[in-house]
Amino acid sequence: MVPPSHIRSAWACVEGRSHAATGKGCEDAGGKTWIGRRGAVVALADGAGSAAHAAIGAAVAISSVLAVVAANFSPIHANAQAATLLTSVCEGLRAKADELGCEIRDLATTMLVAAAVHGRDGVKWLAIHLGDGVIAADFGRGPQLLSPPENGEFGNSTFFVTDPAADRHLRIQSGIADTATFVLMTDGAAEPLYRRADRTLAPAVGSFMAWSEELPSRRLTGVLRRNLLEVIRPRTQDDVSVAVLRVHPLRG
Amino acid sequence: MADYILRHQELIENPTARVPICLVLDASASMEDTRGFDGPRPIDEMNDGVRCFFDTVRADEIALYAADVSIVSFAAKPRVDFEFGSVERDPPQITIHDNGGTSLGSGVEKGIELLTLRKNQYKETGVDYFQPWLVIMTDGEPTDDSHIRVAPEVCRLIQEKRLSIFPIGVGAGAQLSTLKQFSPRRDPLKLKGLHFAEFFEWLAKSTSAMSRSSPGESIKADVEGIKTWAEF
Repeated sequence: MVPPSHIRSAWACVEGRSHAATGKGCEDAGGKTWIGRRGAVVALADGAGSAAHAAIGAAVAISSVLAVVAANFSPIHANAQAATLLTSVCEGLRAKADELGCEIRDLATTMLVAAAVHGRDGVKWLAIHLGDGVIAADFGRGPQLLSPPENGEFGNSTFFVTDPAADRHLRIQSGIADTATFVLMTDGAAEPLYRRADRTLAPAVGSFMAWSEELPSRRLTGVLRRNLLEVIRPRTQDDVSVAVLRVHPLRG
Repeated sequence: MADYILRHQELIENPTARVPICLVLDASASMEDTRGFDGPRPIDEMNDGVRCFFDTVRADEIALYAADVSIVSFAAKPRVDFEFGSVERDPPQITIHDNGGTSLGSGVEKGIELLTLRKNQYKETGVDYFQPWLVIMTDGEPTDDSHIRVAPEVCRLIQEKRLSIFPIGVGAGAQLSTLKQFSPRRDPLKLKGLHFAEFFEWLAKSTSAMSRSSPGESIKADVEGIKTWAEF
């Protein structure tokens, strides 16, 4: 019999200062959903600044990727799922592009996903990343960098799910651990949370993970949002988003 | 009781992503020629324009830390008048070179060399950067063939989207067809009269827009702004 598990999931997105100044609105999106009764998936997407409908693209990508991962969660076959996942997300974006009468590139977005399910063997986890932003994880030995940002040569270049060669940039990692905690952040939030020069996580990432142990998901959501508004947002111009997922077995 | 608010010491700081800009400016003898009019010398107007560029960038809290500027002047040979760095420093007073000639290609070559070295420094120190900008201003025809040797490399960088170029001709003697050899995508523009200040103010505003851009964002040229300094 599988012991009961302790699952926390939360996300928050806040409009950046430059977007507020230009009336652009928040072009990040986030979401979460359950995987059965013993797991969950959280996701963030950062709509491309150049895309005409970036916010819509980010929202559609989140909805598609949550549905695909929740329905087909299988870390063992993670790499084989990469193409399917990208195809499903792009199908969702193409349908929305047809509805809006625009090109799919007008919905360009990055994507960060973490999923974990508690079973007899431990916690099976899956992380999916395309573009910039950062995924951090703790598998019982402290916070570590799981997936760094992938930029082009220049600071304002990255890769999007709608790029023709997106499959070459999609990173899927998976494994089994005793416990799993993830912190996802878009590039705006990563500005004060991740040092690019030496790929170091800020101590704040560890605080988010610790809070996920102490706080129920709804309270954690409020805490994330408050920190984004009061602490993270003043340190960047861009939209800021963070998601946290914690899946731990309850023992004893 | 925990307040669940992050402390300053729990955060880190990343250096501002830089916009590397190299100004390659003609300082040959013709730049002090008032063309028979009792007006200002082009070299003086150009210096005022560069000062205006520095002042405008300094007034922008983001562009101030993003703009990374160097200045190369040239006549028969290139001369580095301002090493790469912040515009918090005072701009140089660009003076007419003693030697004759207008070796446009040598000036551009030096600019490309400085930009390449700077990009390598960014990479070594983990500083993000935007696509480098090369501004070329000249008022005449080159007096050697150095531009024929250098132009293909500049065009290659532009075609690979690793360089943006702003070729500007000054005065009636400027040969836009020569400048065009460096600029496969963007046609060179001729400065309206001696409207250096308007050009450099436009350049400063473009720097500001670039320094605020986020991944995937393309910065469109301010066409209305261009009309203030360019002849069409």
